[in-house]
Amino acid sequence: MAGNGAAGSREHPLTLADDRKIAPERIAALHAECGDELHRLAVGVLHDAHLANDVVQATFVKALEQGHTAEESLRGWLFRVALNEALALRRRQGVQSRAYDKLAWWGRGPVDSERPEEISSRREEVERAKTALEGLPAEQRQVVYLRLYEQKTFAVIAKELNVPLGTVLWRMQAALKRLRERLLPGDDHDNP
Amino acid sequence: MTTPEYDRLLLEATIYVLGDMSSAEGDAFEARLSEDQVAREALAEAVLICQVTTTALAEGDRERSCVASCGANDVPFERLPASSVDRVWRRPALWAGLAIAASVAIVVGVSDFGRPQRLAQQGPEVAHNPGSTDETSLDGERQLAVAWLNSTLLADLEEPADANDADDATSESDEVALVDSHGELLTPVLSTEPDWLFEAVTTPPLQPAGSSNETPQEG
Repeated sequence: MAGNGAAGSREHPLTLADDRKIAPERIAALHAECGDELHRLAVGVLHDAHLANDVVQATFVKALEQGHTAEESLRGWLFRVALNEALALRRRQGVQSRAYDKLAWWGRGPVDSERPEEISSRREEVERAKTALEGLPAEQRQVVYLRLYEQKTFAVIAKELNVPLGTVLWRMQAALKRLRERLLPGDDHDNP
Repeated sequence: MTTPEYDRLLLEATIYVLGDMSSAEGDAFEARLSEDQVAREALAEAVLICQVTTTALAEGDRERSCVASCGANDVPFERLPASSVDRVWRRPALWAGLAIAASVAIVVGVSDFGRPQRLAQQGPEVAHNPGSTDETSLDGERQLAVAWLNSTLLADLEEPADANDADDATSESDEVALVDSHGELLTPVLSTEPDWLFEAVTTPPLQPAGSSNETPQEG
């Protein structure tokens, strides 16, 4: 039945489609599903939330106008398009440094962050992060605090704590693992 | 659960986000991003973790500062606790006690400083036999009273003191100043003293053998 076929296609929104074009409704669903992740990816490259918004918009415009022909998942294709858009925008903007600038993008939310459900979701994330931080061993929490809050480089932290740089990085890696488990439960990467 | 490979990738993405990579390392990581979807997702997760964790750290900074003084295991930094000596010196009762002790010392010192001149003015017989004067007996009483006051003040200081104790000590300081003027003003102090002190104060000082034929008064 045609109805069953249409329903089946909606159950796999991120798989390759036979048609080159992507329906606007599907674009909207994709935006709701991975718009935030694409925004974060762009922020990671650009360190600018507003420019990241432009990247996300350009990515979905390209998906709407061109569709996709790559031999990869639609999700992967969107991420690749967003990355390329971000890198291209960074070149156009003349951004010379990848240096992390807290004032440029720190604390800014992704697209549509003003919606109540987005604000509520963000509050929940912050509370989960607090819980995760409280559960960290003191030495791991110390490294996270010094790097993220006080913005000291890992080399400076290693010098201040009088421990090897590898030890500092190991503590950060262990802390990231725990923070990720708390912030992104159920999002496993057992089979990358 | 994540694999160790993904944990290292997440750390690498975090280092990239935080700008701790060299230019060559950054280029290499971006080349990997162009080819590896897992790396791209790791970068997005690194951004999320950094943003949310920084917000949590900022919001909890005040709370952590409060907890920091309670235990090093609960805080990002081990803060040195305030010195116990500093805490002792901040106690109001201690300062009040020191002020009282200083005032008593000044009162006694001034009194003793003027005593030789007064004895000299009263004549050689008085100067050679000071135990026969009323002033000597008053000095003895005053010294006993002052000693008793000092002992009670020191006892109060050893106990946990509060603001009321400090007020009491201040009022006792006023009484000490009155003690030095006239013997009869010792009454408010003696009204709260133990019996042994009352007997000690009311009993005339002991005289050297043969220096006086007076007998102690009963009662």
